[in-house]
Amino acid sequence: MPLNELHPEQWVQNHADYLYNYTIVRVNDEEIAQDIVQDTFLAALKAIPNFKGEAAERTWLFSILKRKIIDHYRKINSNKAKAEVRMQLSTDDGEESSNWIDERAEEDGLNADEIMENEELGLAIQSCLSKLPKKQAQVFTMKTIEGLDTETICNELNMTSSNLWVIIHRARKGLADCLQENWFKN
Amino acid sequence: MKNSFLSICEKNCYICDQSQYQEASFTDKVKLNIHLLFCKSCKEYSRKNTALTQAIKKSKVKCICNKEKQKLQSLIDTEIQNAGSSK
Repeated sequence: MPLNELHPEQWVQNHADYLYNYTIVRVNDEEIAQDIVQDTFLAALKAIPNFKGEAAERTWLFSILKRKIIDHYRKINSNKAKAEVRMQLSTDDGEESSNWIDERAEEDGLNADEIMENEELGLAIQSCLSKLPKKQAQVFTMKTIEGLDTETICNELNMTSSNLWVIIHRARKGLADCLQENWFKN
Repeated sequence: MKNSFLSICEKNCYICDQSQYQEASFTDKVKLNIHLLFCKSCKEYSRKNTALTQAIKKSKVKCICNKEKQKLQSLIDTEIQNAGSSK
């Protein structure tokens, strides 16, 4: 098997949203999630010499991210000195205890299974998005996930609206097919 | 003849996309729905497209906005340069 290589100059483009979505459901705060993703990238840069090329780039970044999320909870727990919010992280792989999931489940009115499923769906969408050509992924993300106006996107990316809809159409088609393959089938 | 048939389907696909963002006009939507009555492939596309919209809504997928990404990217770029120059 060929060894994997790292491309730090493409990390933001390729992995930021994926890591961000994984983080946000765990810390429940957009700013903190963004900080954690940033920390992850910086720590990863420093750790590049230790990368052996055995894991895929994303898997490797992911393992650093998980550490960073655990660190985050250690930090707030020590700050608040055993605060009311009891986030228990199990010892081995950083999976949250059922306690926490149940608490959050009550907030959303969804049960733990549904929350887990929605999160997995989110990650599936992200990984399908990263398989699309970059332009398509960018326009689709701005339009659908950021929810920007057609006009705003056209101005920012310097394109006509019919151009934008062509790109959106291709992106939606690609995504729908990819999700069909990876998600709806199961 | 075949070309004009294709372009009708294509047009309707775009309307279908636009309606996912509530940006299709009423007359367009009527046209689309009439077309869907007899066009199997567009109907299939429309079904997938709606499923995609629902999946995105349900998953509450979020993203880092472009400005923040650029900031992050420039931060990484400077780090890479620093590392390169210190060697």
